[in-house]
Amino acid sequence: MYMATIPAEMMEQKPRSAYYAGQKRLFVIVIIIVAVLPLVFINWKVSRLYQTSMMNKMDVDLSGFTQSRKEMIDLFLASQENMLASFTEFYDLAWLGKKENIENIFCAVNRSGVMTDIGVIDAAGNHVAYVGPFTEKLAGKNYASAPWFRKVMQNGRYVSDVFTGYRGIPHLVVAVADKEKSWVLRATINSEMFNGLVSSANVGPDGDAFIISRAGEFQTPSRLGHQNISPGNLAVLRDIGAGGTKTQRRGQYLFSVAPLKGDDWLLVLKTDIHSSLADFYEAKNIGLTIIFCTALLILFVTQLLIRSLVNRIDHTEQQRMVLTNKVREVEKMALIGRLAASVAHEINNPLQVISAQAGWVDELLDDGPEKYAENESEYRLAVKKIRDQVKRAGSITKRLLSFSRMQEGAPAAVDINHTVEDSILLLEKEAKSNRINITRQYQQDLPAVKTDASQLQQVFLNILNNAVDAIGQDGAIEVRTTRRDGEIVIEFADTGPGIAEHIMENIFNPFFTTKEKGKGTGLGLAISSNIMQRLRGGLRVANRPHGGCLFTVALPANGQPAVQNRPGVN
Amino acid sequence: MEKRRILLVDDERDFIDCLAKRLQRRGIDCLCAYSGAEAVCKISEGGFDLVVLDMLLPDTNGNEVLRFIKQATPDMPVVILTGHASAACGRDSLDLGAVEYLLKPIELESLYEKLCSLQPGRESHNKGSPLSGI
Repeated sequence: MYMATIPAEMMEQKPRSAYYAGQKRLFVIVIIIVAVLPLVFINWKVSRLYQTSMMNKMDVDLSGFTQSRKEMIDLFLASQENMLASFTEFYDLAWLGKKENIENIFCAVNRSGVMTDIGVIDAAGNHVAYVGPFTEKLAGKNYASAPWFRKVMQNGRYVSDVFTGYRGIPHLVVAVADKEKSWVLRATINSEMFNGLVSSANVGPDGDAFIISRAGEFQTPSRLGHQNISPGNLAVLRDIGAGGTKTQRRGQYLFSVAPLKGDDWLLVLKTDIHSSLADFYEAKNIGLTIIFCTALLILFVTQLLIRSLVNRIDHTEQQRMVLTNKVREVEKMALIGRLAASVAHEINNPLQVISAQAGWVDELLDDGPEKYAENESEYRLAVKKIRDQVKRAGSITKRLLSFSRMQEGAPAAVDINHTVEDSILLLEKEAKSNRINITRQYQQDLPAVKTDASQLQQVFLNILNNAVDAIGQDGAIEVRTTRRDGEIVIEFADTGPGIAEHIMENIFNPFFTTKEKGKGTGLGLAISSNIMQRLRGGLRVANRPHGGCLFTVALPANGQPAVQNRPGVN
Repeated sequence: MEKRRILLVDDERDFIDCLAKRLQRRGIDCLCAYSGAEAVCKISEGGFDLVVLDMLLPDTNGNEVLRFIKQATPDMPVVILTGHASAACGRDSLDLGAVEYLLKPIELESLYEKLCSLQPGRESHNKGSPLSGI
């Protein structure tokens, strides 16, 4: 079964502006997918790769830096220890206990200012000799109860945590006892120099570097000025630094932690990933801005192009529709032309009867007044016949006028059976004279349909006219109206030769005709299918199993689209 | 002169009955046939000088009847009188041998003049004489 399809007509069913707005949206979406998305994707992918490689580099750099700092600090403390140890080996308490001797040694070894002061303490903890800036505060002090003193007397060597002590200033000491642990040589490390070893670490603008004891006391000040550390954060740092130098990312920070002084201290280097990657983010933002601007430009240009294109299409479409409407009207007139002979017959016959009857009355009147009474019944009969024929002619002109109305009227409730019957009546006489019998099977309770009766009649007349032409002589046309699946279906079955399969798909094409030249425009069925689409119905054709063909016109009973696309041959 | 006999073939009874009455008043003997079959029947019986034939008949078309007439009595003048204004159909009729193709509506006087001007087709009639005495 073949369906007529004229895609442009879909636009008439939907407001055109909405259709074109949809098309514009579609174009823009396609452009975004094709042009903009790849740009965004490439930028995202490159950024990801670059960021990952930057992160890996930062990880390696920070880790290496931490390790080298750790080694430097360990070496620094060990060298101070070793230096003091060698003095305890070379000299005894008696010699070093003399102020001028210790002063000479302090001056000799402390040219770089690594030490703040140096002192000699005997086994009882008494400060025997001292060189440094705190002579007044420390003179004569006893260190027997100081934790560092007890440790050094116990282990022989000791590097303290930072503590305040008698001088009241935070400092750390390196102390070494002689072999017999009978006296102790103690040096105070220059805090500024020691802090400098840590704070000079390259950790970026918002990074931090410090040494913290296991107990959570800062051994060197935090670059960011932190005074305390929460137990949770301390645990995290301990966790990272357990078992050697390690680096770990936590949030926006990269931490590198190394154990120092055995396991007593942790060297912590912290770098802010965001501020370290500031250049990268700036580059990324510039890239995104360029992409955004490019996308805007593409969208703008696309919009302009599409608008101009769509306007042109719209304009062409409007012209096409004007032409289509004109063609439809012209074809309607051509159809009237093709039906003219039959129509003329329908009008001329009543006129002929009227003329004959009037002439007859005239003749009777000529017989003279004496015959009037005798002829009265003849007069009356003739007048009645004239009146009947006037009515008959009136009905046919009315039928014709309603069909040939040029303007498309507003849809009105149409009685389908009545419209079909009107169409048949225009053709039946001619059909009969060719021994083509038209039978009707109307379903009586069909609902009225809101549609355009004139256009519908054009479709019916086209189909009927084709059927009469196809049959030629001796045959039948069955016309049936039914209601089926929410549609009103009008079927026209004929006993003609049917339609050859190879032309079946062309019969709805404009200018396709099998009629001899001058008999058909080739537009009848094209326009009929066009009309049915406009009326939201459908027009199908199929060959009947036992010859002839069946045209099916379907109309939505409730104004909804009725016929689905169901191509194929029955 | 012998009265002419005309066969009127048309399914419009109100027309040909009236036409027959009026022609009879003018001295023409008229017989009516209301269908193709009836016309064929009457023609087969013979005795007509002329046939006035409609084109659209309920059971056949005028040209079919014309074809039969021309086979049965080739000289019989046949006037087509129809409301069916088809040039092609008219051409066919004239090709088949109709002498006139007249379109309805026609005034009786014009029709009568035409009929008078035609030669009768019946063998028994004197060829060449006009329809006279009516």
